[in-house]
Amino acid sequence: MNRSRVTGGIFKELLQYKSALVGLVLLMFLLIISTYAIFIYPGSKAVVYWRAGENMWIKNPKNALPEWWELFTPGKTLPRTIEINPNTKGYAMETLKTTNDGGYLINLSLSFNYEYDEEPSAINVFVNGTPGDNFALFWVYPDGRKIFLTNLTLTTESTNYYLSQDIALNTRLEMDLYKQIGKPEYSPTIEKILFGTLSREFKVQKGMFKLLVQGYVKDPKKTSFDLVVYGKVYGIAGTDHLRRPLEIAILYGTPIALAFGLTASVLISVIELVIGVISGYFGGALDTIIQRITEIYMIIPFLNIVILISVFYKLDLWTLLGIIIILSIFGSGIKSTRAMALQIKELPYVEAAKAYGASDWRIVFIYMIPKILPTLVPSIVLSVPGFVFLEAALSLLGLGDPLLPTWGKVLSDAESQGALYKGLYYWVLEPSFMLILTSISFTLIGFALDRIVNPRLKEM
Amino acid sequence: MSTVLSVKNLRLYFTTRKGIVKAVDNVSFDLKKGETLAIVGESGCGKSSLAKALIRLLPRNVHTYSGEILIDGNDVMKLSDEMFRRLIRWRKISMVFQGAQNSLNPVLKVGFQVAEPLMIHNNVSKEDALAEAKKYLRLVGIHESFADRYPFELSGGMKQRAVIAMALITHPEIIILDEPTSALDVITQANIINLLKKIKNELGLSYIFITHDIAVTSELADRVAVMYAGEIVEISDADEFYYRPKHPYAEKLMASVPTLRTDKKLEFIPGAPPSLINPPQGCRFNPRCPYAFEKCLKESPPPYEIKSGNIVRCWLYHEGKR
Amino acid sequence: MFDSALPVMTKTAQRIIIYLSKRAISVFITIVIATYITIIIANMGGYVDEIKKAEITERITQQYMNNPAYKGIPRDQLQKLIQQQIELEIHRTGLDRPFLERSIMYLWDGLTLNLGRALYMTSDSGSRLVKNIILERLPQTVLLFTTATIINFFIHLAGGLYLSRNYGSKLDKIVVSLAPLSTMPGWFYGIFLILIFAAWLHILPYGGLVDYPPPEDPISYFLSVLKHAILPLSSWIISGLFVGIYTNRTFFLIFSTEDYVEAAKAKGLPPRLIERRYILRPTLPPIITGLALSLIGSWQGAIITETVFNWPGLGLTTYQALQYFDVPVIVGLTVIYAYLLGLTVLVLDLVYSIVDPRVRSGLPV
Repeated sequence: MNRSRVTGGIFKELLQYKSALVGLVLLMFLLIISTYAIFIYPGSKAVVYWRAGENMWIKNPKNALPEWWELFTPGKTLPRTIEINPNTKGYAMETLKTTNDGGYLINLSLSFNYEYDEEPSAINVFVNGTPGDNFALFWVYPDGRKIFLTNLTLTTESTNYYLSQDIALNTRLEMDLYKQIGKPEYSPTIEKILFGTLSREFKVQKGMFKLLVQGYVKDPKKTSFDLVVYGKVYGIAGTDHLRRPLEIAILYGTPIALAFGLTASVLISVIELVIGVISGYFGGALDTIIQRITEIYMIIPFLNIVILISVFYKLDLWTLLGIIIILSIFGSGIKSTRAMALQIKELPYVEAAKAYGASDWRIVFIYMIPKILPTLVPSIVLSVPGFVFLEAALSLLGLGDPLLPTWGKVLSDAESQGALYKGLYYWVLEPSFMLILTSISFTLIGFALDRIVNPRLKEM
Repeated sequence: MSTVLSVKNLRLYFTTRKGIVKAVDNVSFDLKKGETLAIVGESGCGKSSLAKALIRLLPRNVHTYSGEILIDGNDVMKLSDEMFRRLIRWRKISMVFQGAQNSLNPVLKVGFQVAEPLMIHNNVSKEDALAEAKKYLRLVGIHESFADRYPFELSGGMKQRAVIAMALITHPEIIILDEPTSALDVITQANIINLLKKIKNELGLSYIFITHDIAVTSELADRVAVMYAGEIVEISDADEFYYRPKHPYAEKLMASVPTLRTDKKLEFIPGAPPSLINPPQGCRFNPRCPYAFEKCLKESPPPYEIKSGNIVRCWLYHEGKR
Repeated sequence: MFDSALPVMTKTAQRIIIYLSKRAISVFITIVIATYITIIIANMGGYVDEIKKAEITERITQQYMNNPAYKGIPRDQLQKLIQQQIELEIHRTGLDRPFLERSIMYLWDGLTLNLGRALYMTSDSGSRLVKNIILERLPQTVLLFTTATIINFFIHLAGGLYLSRNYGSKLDKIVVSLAPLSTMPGWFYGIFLILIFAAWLHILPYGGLVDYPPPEDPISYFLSVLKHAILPLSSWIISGLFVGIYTNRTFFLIFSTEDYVEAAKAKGLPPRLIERRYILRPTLPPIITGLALSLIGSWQGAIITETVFNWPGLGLTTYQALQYFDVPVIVGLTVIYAYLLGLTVLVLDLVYSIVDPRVRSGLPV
């Protein structure tokens, strides 16, 4: 039998089904994303990025929405992150004069233009210098108002001033605001006050903002400020609670999901096939033993054992995969392959092969298995989403690979951080979207294949 | 002898992806009371479809189902499905299926299945029906204890007998037997044939015996009808047929049957059975017929009556060449 | 009349009982094996030993500390005494025996549901016994998921039957094209249902069993539970709907092309009867197998769904045990699950044997 012609024929027939076409297109899409992901995160870069946690991503906003969320806020532009540091424009340092003890007085101004319709999510100032340096920070509005923020003294070579968490500042600013305009109609957070107009109703003041720093430093060359005005949106996928861009996990999760699902599905099906055929062909004691093992497998609580193993032995994804495979190979698929093997065993061409002296193993692997294999293709395709969801489920339970950026991990982070309660819907929607896409793509293809390959359905 | 069944212009076509299959194409014949009419033909000639057409077992993709089927003078084609079910099925006509292996429901007891038609059609109580079923099982040579068994507990031959008993129980006039012995060994075959003969005489039945095995029909048939490409091309009295078949196809058929203990030059029919979707133009046998002439290629020959109840569809007879 | 009926009846009953006994032994052996595997996995790192030893230590220490007779004794002497007792106890209960022997001991414990005490968790009634914690939560899981499975079973059966009659109709095509939607598991739909009905529309609760504080009178309590059960039930029903109906319909279609169905039609049996006796009855064995597999799957699937919905059943217990790393509970749960699965298989074997005569006579099906 010319095997390539058979597969070619099946493929052609497949294309006739509209549903299969949609499925194939979706699969193409996933494959493109996978290739892209592997390309931009070569080696284990993605894992490194993901593991790095908050420190690597400190310049990203926390729980930022994806940029396309703006589609849901027509007319409003959502703030992106603005950073002013010595390498950007808007940064100006001026050494005023030297002091008696060998230090310097400097003026620093970090200015930026703010045109967004909402206030930023947070503000952070990173300072580098020499221990002993002393700074006074001021905030200047576009309308000229200038307010004192805080004093900073360096005890080590760097520090950062998380403006948004300065409660003392918040209280002071709030009281000042109250004095000036009375009780505001909005909840006066630091960001709202620092970026709002002086009015009861909240409105973002647009224009040039400045962070003014007056400082006494030991060495101006070693002194630098880094102002980060965190936006509310970031990138195409937003960020999570550790400020990591979710696109890493969404993109890199694709090849992981595909590899995991396909490997599990194919390996389990093929191994079940071989065991089923051996069981059906050789019969006798071997058959009985295999049957018994299959029954045992049916009663063993699969998920519980996986949980058990994951709990006691920290697992990475691929070991987990291996365990899942071992726990599935004597599953219910064996019944059907064994039944088919029993039928084929009686066919004349198998008897003929025996007659001319073919060894049993030859018959099993060259005659029987290739005959049954095509009928398994639909179920191989159809079980891929199941395994992808299994990984997601295990991650949700906290048992997944803690280091790999998978869709399941994102979902589990979202769940444990209470994304739904906090209204961070994108955090749940994005990995779900990828999961749905994968699921639909494989099932459309799988169902179409089933209609083509399943002999009994052919008759209809 | 009176006519129990008269089929006129029966057509059964179905739609398939490749085209319309004309499985039964304008078939007409009569069946007399107490007669066995054998219908023979190659696989794919439409004989099973004919059987199903007679009992209105139509597939989902039926395209055309027309003609007249007269039983006791009434055209049953006109009956609604429900009336046909109630009045004709198993009351006038019953059927013994091909491959009795699978004709019996595996989860119901044998006796029950044999008794079922009585319970449904004749409103007989379960106990009485079962008692009657046991009688019939005995009649076909199965011990009544088997009535409580399941089909998987019976051998192939016993299942066939059970199916025959099932076909008899409501005393229908006509029994269609579709390859009743194909799946059986020679000895069981002979037993079944003898059984059928005996029952026919005892109960006064009429058979339509469909098969591809001509030898088998020689035991039972009174008349033989030959089917080719959806048409009946010859109907002859049995004696006539076995010695002198009329239609060239039938001739070739008989010549290709091996006979025991005589030296016979075996012939075969060249070519392949025709497609039922696109049968050849003119006489359907013409591509394989050694006697074909011009007219055969253009027009399809109508039935030519040789004598009452015997016809042949061949231009040779119309043109007086035979 | 009676005489002829009686032997036949007992014969069938006999056959069933023999068959079931064989199956029960088989299932029990499987449970033993499953439990043994659990023990081995759990104890490979010696965890179970540690827990047992800790239990003993705690118990004996308590005994001595609370016993007024020992009040007067100096600290270090008391400690020595306690240590001695502990070691005696360890020896007595065989915890210092080799691995294999210990495993067999734990196996016996597990099988007899002597599952020890939890490390951190307690049951609602205050018991620390793992057995009680688990058995307390068991009914909730059964309530929700077995109900869901059974509802699904009947919907799929009826839907599949209906569709198989009207093969090729518009509805048929719609169901077929929607079937792919069903490969997403129930818990996944659950997240979305919560998103829509709880987070956005606020008309149904996020999760849990009952309102807090729970209503006093039984009817309100029952209604509250019902309200909380709507989303989890719906998630399971929606998730399995299309593929379930589709599979059943394909199944019935295939079975309706069997020769004996044709024969039944030829016999002139009315269509409804044919459907019941010639299509439905013969398909019962594989359908029941399907139900068995669904039930078994539902115990497992419950784990995630309960986590998503905070439904206080076995699944949530599993999740909590994982969070606390409460090993005895985790191990105990696995054993209980093995028993549950085994029981399910046995019950369905019983039904199977009634329904398929071939099974009773021991023939391979």
